[in-house]
Amino acid sequence: MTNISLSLYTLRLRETHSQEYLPIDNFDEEHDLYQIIGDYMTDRSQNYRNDEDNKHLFRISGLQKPGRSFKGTIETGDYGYETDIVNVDDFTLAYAKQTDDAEMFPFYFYLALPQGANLGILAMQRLGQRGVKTYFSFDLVSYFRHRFSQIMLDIEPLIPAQLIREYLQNGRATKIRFIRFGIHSDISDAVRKNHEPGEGLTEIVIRAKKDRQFPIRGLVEQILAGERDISTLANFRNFEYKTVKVEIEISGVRRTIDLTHPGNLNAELDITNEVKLGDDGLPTFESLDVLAKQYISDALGRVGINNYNVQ
Amino acid sequence: MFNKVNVLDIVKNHLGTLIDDSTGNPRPLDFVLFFIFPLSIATALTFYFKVKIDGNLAGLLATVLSIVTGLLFNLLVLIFDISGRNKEVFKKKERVSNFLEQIYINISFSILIAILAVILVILRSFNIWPAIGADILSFGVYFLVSLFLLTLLMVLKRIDTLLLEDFKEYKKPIN
Repeated sequence: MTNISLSLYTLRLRETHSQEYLPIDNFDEEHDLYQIIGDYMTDRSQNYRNDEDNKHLFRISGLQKPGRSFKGTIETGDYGYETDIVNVDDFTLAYAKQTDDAEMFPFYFYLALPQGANLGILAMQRLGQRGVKTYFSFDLVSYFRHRFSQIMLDIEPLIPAQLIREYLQNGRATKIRFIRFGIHSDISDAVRKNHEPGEGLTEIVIRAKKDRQFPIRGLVEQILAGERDISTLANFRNFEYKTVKVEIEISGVRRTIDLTHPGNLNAELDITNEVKLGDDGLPTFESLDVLAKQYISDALGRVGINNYNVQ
Repeated sequence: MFNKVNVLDIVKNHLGTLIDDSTGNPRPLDFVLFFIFPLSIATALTFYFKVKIDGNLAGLLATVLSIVTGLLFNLLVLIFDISGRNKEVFKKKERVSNFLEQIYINISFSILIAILAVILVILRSFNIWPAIGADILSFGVYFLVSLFLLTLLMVLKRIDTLLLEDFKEYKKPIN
């Protein structure tokens, strides 16, 4: 059976050339990301988006808007080639797909945009190797960019808490990198732009001795859970870091966790055994919805948003 | 005898702020901008264009410098107030703390330069100087006023950064 999984992503807004995230409900003192994405979702649910260059058809169906959330199904498919669809009972040709036919796969999604927060959480279903994240995020980011050229919409993977715990429990933290962005000759620029890459970056690297590790599991878990500020990890004179990266060695493989952007570790939640399949052989919307809401709720709690009702 | 009016520390501290923040070493370009450039302006105005400081210009310079000096004293109090309000924050953010200290030093230096310029303007306005003496005083006034304006621009940029960063802290969302 094909694997069914859910991937979680964060949606954040920032000004171009800045790493500081803006409140999503009032990102430019006037607009709410919920409204903008609402316009986008409505448009895509009313009309097919036909990407003729890439021969790709896309639309949103069954759109629901509970609270400050959106959920529904993204239907997507490629066209531009002919294939035969064969019946497996008698091995006869059931249908000959034409170049103008797009085989539409449905993918469940849930997007929560809590009021007052600086991020939204998106859950998207995957079916085996198939997913819709790349196309959806490209389409949404393009739509957003078209309306707000000075604001960047970042959609990044959100690593599930249990995966981080697994890494920390089974792996060894062997290297810690404290990074300060920007090399500025004037202290005024350094203070103002210390979160921008600028002309380069400065980093302090601490390496554990061979076969040893740093006992920082608890600290890292607290930082990722939002219970501790990243600046409390270490204190260097005249070196105010903005990013900390921890290298973890697990079964001979090195993984790097960016404590400010832990989502760089791509991860999927396998829900194959938890979803119910419908008569069409695809997971039912209801069973996906229950699991997605649960994971979104956990993810929101992990980033300190506990008062959001995931409906 | 002059201990109580010894302001050399203000000059020394100010020179200590003309450094490359990424290396901590003195930045030659800063010295060119803040000393060679004003010297060039003063030389050009005094000896090439032969701009004289008459009674009107002397009065205008003395008034402007006096008013701006008064405002700079207020700025010193503002910096002192910000520093006092955010002691706990600055203990954690050494860079911002250094920045605040440097702004304080730069403002003190601006005030000192403005006071010296006013003294020279007043001295220049006396009609007791031989031509060379008057030129030297004019040169001193032009140099100090140029230096004062450049330092004032630096202070303005730094105060702007400080307050904008402060406002950003207020605007940060809870989550």
